[in-house]
Amino acid sequence: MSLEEISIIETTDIKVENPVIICGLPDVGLVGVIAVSHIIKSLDMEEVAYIDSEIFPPIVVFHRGTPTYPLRIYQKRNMLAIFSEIALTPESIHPLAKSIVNWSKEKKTSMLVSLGGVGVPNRLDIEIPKVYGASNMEYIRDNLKKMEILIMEEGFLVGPYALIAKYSLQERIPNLVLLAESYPNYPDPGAAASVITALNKFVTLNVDVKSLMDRSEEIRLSARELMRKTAENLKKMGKSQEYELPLMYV
Amino acid sequence: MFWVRRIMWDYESGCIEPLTEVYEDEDEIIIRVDMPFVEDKSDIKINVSEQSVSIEARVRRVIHYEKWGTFQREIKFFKYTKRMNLPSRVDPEAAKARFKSGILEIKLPKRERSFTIPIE
Repeated sequence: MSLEEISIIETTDIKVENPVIICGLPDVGLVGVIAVSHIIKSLDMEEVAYIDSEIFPPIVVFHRGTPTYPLRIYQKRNMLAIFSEIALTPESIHPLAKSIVNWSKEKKTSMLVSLGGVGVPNRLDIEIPKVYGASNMEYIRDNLKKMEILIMEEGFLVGPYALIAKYSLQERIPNLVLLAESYPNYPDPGAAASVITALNKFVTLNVDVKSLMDRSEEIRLSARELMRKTAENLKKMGKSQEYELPLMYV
Repeated sequence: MFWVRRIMWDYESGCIEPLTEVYEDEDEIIIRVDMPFVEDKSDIKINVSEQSVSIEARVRRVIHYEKWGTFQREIKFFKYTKRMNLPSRVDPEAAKARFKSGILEIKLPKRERSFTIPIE
């Protein structure tokens, strides 16, 4: 599957200098999608690009009567946000992750941030979900420690963020993964609030999570269909492997 | 419904199907149902038999969409309904349920349970 199959089309001249790029792709609990959608709304970010491919499902989204690409990129000052409102098929995630990483490299990103969830069976009993961080850069891991964000020491990551982490390692661009404890199969605005709070420590976002929590039930209801399709696709990607123990390093 | 997959709502009856997870271990089946906008446990009715569970929950604040889906229909949802067949036989009388943060959790002990036996 060649990389040419994915196009990132900039609809406006994007002027940035070592931008922070945040990704909200459909994954466990739709944590990234909910978090990035909230950041886009809160910061009133402007749509500056879209991502398209013949290997994506044949879907166009209508908003206020206008057809829109389901994968879009937004900008506010020196921050870019990648957001998808459709479930990603297993066959699309490799070229998509590679395109995102290559584009981020072109933009000379200071940090490519993946926001997501890690499914926990006891989520019902957790008031404020903990956030785990991972990075390919030592200085980012040091910052995680300073900010008292737990580091994901061992384990598997499966899905789009795994590939972004892998290609970031290959291309040597700084990648930060922030994963909040989440309901595995339900949209989880509480977990999204936790990752935003953690991201606020790295980047001065000034995004309030109260309004997100106030809309929690509405979000859970409206994101049901996307959650169901995402859960089906994650199963095909072998997401359950995240619950397995990795081989001991020898 | 012709070419589409099973849909999760019915506009005629105002029913919406909740997202549901089913976990199974050696001794029990755990079902978790996500039901935003259900306010109180008194609004939920659960029926359990040895092989199935059905759930109905009233939404006190009617969920109203002016233009739902590509149909652009006005639609109002009043309740959640879900019926599911269980992967193993359970003991309905020993079932337990709790409702927290809009999520219903039902624990169903299996009829046929496993026991640890010593090796002689």
